[in-house]
Amino acid sequence: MQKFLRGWQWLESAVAVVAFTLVAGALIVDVMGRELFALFNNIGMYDFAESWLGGVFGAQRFAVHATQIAGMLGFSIVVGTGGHLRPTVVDKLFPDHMDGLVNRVSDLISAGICAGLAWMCWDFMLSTKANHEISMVFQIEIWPFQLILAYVFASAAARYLCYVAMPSARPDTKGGDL
Amino acid sequence: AGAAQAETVWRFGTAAQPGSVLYDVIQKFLGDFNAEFAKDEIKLEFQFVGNEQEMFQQLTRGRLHIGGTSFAGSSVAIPENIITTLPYLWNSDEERIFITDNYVIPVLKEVAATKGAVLIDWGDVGWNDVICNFECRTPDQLKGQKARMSPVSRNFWEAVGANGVQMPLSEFFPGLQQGLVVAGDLPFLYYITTPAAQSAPYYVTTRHLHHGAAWYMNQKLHEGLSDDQRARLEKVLPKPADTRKLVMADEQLPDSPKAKEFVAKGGKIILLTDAERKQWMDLVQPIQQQMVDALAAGPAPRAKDVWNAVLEGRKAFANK
Amino acid sequence: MTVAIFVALVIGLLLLRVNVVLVLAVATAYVHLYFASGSELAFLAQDLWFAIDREVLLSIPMFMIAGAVMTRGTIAARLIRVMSALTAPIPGGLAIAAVLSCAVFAAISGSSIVTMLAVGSIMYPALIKEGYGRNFSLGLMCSAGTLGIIIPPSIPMILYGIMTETSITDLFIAGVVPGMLLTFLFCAYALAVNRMKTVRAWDLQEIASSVRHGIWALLMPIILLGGIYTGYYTPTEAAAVSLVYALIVELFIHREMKPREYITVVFETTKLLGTLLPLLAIAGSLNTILDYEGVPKAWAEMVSQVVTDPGAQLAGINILLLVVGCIMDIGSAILILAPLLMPMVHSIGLDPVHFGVVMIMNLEIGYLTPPVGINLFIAMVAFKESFGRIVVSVLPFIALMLFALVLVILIPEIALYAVQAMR
Ligand code: NA
Ligand code: NA
Repeated sequence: MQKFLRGWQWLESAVAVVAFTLVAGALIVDVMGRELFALFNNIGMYDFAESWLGGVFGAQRFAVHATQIAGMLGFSIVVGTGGHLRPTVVDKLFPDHMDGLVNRVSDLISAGICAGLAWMCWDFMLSTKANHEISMVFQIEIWPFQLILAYVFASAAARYLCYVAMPSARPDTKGGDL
Repeated sequence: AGAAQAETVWRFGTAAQPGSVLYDVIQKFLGDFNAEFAKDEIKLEFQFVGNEQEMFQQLTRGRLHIGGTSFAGSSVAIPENIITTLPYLWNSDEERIFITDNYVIPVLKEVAATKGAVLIDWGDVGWNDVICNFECRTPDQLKGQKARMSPVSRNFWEAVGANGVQMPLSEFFPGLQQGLVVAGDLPFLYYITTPAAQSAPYYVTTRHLHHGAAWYMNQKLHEGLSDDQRARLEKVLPKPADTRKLVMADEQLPDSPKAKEFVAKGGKIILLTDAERKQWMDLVQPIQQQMVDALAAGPAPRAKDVWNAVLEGRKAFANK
Repeated sequence: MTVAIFVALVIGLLLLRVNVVLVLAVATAYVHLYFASGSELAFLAQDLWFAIDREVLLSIPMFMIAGAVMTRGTIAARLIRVMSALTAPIPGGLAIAAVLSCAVFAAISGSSIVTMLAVGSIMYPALIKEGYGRNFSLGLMCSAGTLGIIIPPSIPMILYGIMTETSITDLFIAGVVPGMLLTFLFCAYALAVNRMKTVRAWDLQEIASSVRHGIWALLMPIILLGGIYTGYYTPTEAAAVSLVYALIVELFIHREMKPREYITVVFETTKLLGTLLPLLAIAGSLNTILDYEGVPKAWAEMVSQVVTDPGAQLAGINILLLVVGCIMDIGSAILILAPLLMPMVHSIGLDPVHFGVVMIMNLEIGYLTPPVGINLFIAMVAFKESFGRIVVSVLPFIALMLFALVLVILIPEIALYAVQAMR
């Protein structure tokens, strides 16, 4: 199972890295396209500029969606690395020998909360789909973009459940001290 | 405490800012509504929501109860609304009002009803005109120049041959200052409240696209009203003709008090003659059909119905 | 009863070692269900979506990744070497350089977060390395970042101008001197705190050598600022430009960073954003609830009814703004409160431009006050420090900002002189 969790983590990280790279890429291509258009237009080559150059319509919107994907994937990745913020001072409340049990209860609750959030976001996505709400810029339905919310919470819930089933796979969560 | 608890609070969502005609119209409506519905123990409160698309989505889900937006703002759920903002769709205000009220609104009402909203009122936001930081009169002068475009005005700028730049309004104003863009398009009454009036003081009456205002009510809520309540709501809603009169008076260039104030502060109003306006129109009108087809094939299955209503209205107007 | 359950739920979950972000999610869901009128759980999901569906979020990860690339490579170190060499004879010189960098960046960016991240991602590690106090450095970066919204251009000033029909140009002009005042106060404080720090005389050889080695690094801020100022790109796009420039320089010119390391850097930033984004989204939902429930509106009405004396009303407005700044984001606070407060502002006899600056300076402090202090959140994640430590670290700077605020309230000319001169 640890191998599976690692592979899963790797996959989500890879998607996030690619998404962030696309954000930078989209913004740069947009800027370059329109500034080169301006450059060639200024030297009297409007026709060339007009047919080959120009900003990319929707580049910023695309970048926003890629940021959503990368950033939200970060949420479930951080569950995997134990990095979410929490006040670790409260850990002293339970004696050390109870750590295993308390952590399991904690993971079970966290799984429940994440599952709840996932269900809620899925439901929201369905309402968007039912209304056929669109992206003004891309003129396509917006609901597929909203899937990322439901996915990351479901992914986090599943991860917590894995830790309940197999505590040895659980990361140290003392890292994100508040 | 029981009596206070019984009062139901409804929220009127809008992005209309203080000082705009729409804002004043809404404030008056809130007063009239609350006086009329006091006996039903319903209180309607003003709720500013900066993002029109977010506002509309909250309205269809029942978090807001009534909302006032531009047709473009509600097009996130009713993309058919975009047809009303097609560049050079109207030849005159008279024609626009006749066709809108008699032919277009009935279709848009039907479409809204399939999206969880009831179109209860409408009016004008105003004309979008071109603004420049230099004296521009003809589309040729903007060919190849960097101009800020919104999703609604994209086709207009592409037809002009400008180097279109997409940016949010918050970046548009500094962008004009720094020369990132030299032109854009805004409605006059909004434009004069922004720094664009200083950094791009040339206001050119291209009158290329018109923003209408639409008021919606959450459908479930509307269905729950009694016949008597619906009639009383109808009674206190502002009349489209009244709202339009206010907007069009302010938009009267160069003679309205607001226009005179703008000129006194250094603004320049460039009034295009019909022949000059036609230069812009001739570039843009040929792509209208394409835009309708794209909408109909894509997100707005009933776009053609709205378009046909416009065509039918044009014929009727010509024969009037 | 519902309140008791609410408190018990939050404390219980924290004791059971549940992450803060999940506890906040549960708390917010509870607020939607039991406190907010006519609300439902679905609205929480809707708020989460709209909080992350905004263009303003773009520059945050871009500046974070760019900063990390420059720190992992050598641009940051080379830039800092130049700055250390130039500021060697001044105690606290590097800290002063950090403040001035924020002020310069503020002159092209309208956002507090972007200013803090763009400058802080390089300067904060540098300050630590040069032996400046951790708390001092944190507080300095968090507060100097807020210069972004007082020195024009400023997104909050644009919002204020639109909502109150005040000339945005006048507001921009009025912000210049108060922004310089704050810059001066931060610099003076940096000097005072670090007065015992050992200084060196200017070493011309070291200056020349650092500039020679740092030429590509020095071009970075020039390209960043110059490009925005001459209209090549917006501040948002500048974030991506700086990332690409940093990558090209580190990978192909300095060659002290391997392509593989880019992946590590982006992965680290993903984790930071994964911590930050859900927090911001949930804070956004609470913000919307407060707005829809009319909480700030009720408070504003309370101030106008409880006190009638103009001086007391002015004090009341300022306290209101400081309190609102603790729990709401500055954009919503302005959209809601600016029009509501205008009648009172007129009756007190304040110039709306003057009040605009006062309001921004008040809410600017809100970036630094818990529980919802956006600069605190971002610093916590970007600089990897605990929330508690950051809250403490900004306290002296809040005192300085309050001092500046009182000055601007009492001496309107600080804001208005330049406006009147230009009129
Ligand atoms: Na600024
Ligand atoms: Na705060």
